[in-house]
Amino acid sequence: MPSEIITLQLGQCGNQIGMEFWKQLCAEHGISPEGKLEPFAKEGSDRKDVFFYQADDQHYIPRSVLLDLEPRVIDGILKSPYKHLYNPENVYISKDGGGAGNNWAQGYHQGDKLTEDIFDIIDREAENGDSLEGFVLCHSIAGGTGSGMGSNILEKLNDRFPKKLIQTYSVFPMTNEVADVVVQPYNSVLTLKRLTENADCTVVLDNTALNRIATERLKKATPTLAELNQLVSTIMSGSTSTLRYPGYMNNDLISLISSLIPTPRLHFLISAYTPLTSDNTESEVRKTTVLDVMRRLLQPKNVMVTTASRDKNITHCYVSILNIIQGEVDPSEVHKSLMRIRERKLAEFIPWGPASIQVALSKKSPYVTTQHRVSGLMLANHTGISSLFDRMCDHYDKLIKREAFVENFRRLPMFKDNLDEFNDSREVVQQLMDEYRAATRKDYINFGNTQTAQGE
Amino acid sequence: DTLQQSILYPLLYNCTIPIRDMIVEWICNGIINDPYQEFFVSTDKMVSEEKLWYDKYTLRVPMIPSFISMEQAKKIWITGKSINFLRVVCKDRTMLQILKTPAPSQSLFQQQRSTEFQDMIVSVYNDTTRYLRSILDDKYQMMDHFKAIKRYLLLGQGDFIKYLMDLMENELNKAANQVFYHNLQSLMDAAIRVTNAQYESEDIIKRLDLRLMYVSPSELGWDVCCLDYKFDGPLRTIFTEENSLRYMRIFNHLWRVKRMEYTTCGVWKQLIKSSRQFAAIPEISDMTHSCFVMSNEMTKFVQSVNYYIMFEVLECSWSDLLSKLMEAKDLEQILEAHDDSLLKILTRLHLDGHETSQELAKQLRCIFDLILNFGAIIQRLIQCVETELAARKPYQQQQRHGTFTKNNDSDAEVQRFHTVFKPQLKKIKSDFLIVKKAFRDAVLKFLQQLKSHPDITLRSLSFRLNFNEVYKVSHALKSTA
Repeated sequence: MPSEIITLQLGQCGNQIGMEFWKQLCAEHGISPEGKLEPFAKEGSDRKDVFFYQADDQHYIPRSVLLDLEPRVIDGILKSPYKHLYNPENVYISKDGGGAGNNWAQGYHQGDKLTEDIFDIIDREAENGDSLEGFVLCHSIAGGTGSGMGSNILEKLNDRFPKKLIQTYSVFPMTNEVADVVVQPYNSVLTLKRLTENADCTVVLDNTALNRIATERLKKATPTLAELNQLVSTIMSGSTSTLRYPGYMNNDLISLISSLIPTPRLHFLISAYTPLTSDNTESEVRKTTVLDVMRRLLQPKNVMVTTASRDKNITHCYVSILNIIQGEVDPSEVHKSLMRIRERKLAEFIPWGPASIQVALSKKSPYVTTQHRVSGLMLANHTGISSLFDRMCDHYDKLIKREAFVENFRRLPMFKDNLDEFNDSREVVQQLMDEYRAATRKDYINFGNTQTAQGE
Repeated sequence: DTLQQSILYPLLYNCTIPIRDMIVEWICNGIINDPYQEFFVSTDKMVSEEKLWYDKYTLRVPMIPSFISMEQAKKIWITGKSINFLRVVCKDRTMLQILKTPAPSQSLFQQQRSTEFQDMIVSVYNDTTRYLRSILDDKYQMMDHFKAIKRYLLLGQGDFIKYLMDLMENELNKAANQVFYHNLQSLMDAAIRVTNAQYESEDIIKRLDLRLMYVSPSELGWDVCCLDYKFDGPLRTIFTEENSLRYMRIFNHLWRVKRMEYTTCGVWKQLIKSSRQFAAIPEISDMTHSCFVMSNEMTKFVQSVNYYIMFEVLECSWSDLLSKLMEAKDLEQILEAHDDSLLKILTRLHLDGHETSQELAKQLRCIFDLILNFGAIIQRLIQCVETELAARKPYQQQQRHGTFTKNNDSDAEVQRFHTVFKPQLKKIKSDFLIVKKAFRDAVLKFLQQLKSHPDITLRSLSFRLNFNEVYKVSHALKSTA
């Protein structure tokens, strides 16, 4: 069947959000934790074959590869009710089992060593489908495995599958000064270079924002990991819903993302979801309308990335916005809502080309009951994402100036002779931020000329 | 006064008896026994089954007695039609009801005194139309077929449509007279087997077919190929041949816009996937950046058109249709609801034959041709870059192995770059600039034409296309939107 997608879950965080994602998908498609179709799941209009394939005995298996350098999280999955869901041949834990010590270089080099084994699995899975559309990678960028091994895999995926789309759901670390992992900024910058150069689309999940939202939503001071990952799985399932429920538009990944991404580097997307938190007070009084949903999706409090910009000279703006709306919607409201949003200037757009809010309708699962009549997901390309990278670079610069903790990296081949890799990565991130900032201005159409000048 | 009344009453009474009898016979059995042509419903025996509802029974307005209102006459007419429709077209001979006590003759012309006549008309009308509706819904699954039309003829089954288009692309690129039905049909069967269409009920799948509309020999397969949905029995009355043709025109248009969507996605993907190679030749970066910007512009254009189609055209008319169908009591109302929705779709897709609509259609085709043109230019660019990079490889090898001699080899290399690559690139660039300007001009003209179209929904398309107002449309006419 056409347009299959293979999910790669990498490292502790990657596997945790992957697990929540598959849980959600099983619930939506009426698949039991063992992979069998539930008796109530008779309605055949959903497309399970994008993310699942069927074994000979008719049970459904996720097109997923679970990778890690230490066993803890994957073991947890394999002891959970979903232990029979996954293809055991697609689970790979490094025999070393020691993890990557939150060190990007360790993760990267172990990835090198394990390339053959890992790509045996990936190649086999890729041949399993009739027409693979691409890969989705889940990972965090601040640790060791998801970031380092993830970077390695990204590079190799791009080399070995040059025509396939590569999308990532990348969890960015919380940006407080004192990080859990001291070399977090190094790991992040090194990974961000690979995300920039090897991924076609990255959905940025900012842990700071996720925590803030989970705290508000659950009214607890410290939400659990499971609660945070639930938010992520909501985003992931929402952004794949049009792939899984065929409709007039957005039936494959490429049509979803091609209008969101104008140029190769500007491919970092922010996401928002509603209803999440205190939105609900109004819905008790009247029914939620399309305008309500679209308005809330533009509110920073519902966005899963903190993009507060410190640069007063730049007005950040949207390059593109896609709203995917599920539920009981009166289609004639869409046009009115768009007009209202434009009238009230609720969103600022780029000046150098056409841009707008596109609204897509998606069907939803008949088996999952939701409290809310209407829900909405936003995927958007916003130049303000560069301020997230900016803050990351700030922390990075402070550390690298003192060459703090660099010894851990020097032990590994890539950094043995010099720290060029660091500088190179930092340079790539700088170019990324510069391009995002340039995209806020009209002269962005001539951006290529500045590049030509640089190249000569 | 009483004397007049005493004369007129028996006269009227006797005159009304035959009318009353004819009405009762008509609304209970659908039969007209009218040797003197007095009844206000006439029948044309030559009309076929398919046209039964439309043409067989005519309401002869001049023959409606003055004491029967137009509304009552219509109900009477529809009731009898429904019975005949049930018997002949639905092949249902269930005896619906025998009026135990038909309203007496005087109740026809004394309606201000008693509602017996009105009650009789309304109750028989209700019973008959309700029964007909239940037959249409249950025996003939009318709603299922409406939904199937939305999924197939109106492209709702996106996975099937995409796969079908992928399979058919090569065939459809040929000239129209080289496109053969049996080739396309086997492709369609393949698409059904492989996508979610395979889970449809047999009854629905067997009705899917392809039709080739011949417009003119200069057309391509893309212009003539249409998906069709075959109807029979009573549903043929709703989905007449004329309506089928309308659906075909709609399908063809939607299919073309979809094709543009896939084209722009394809161009985007090629550009993105070639960005590494582009980066290896820094001299072309201003050109490639412009290509990305143009690709983005074209993608956004097609997308906006598509989303407009999805909401303002398809979803709005569908929800309208659904609510009208829910309220509809008789077949006449069902037909009206369906015709209304089809006309709405045609207008909003500028296919209604209106002069401004035709201009818009032409302009859109022009824009689509430019997009295809751009796609071809991008292919050439990528080819050119790949050739250049491949040509550089031996020199790069030599450099690595230290066998690169400064004079001869480097001269040849520079020569090649200037005499082969650069001129090719220049040609591509100039073609690109032509398309770029033409596209922008065409879009501006399209926006202008939209603004002056009488249909308010079509005007809203310009709002979507120019949401952030980057296109400066001159206001030739004051817009009243």
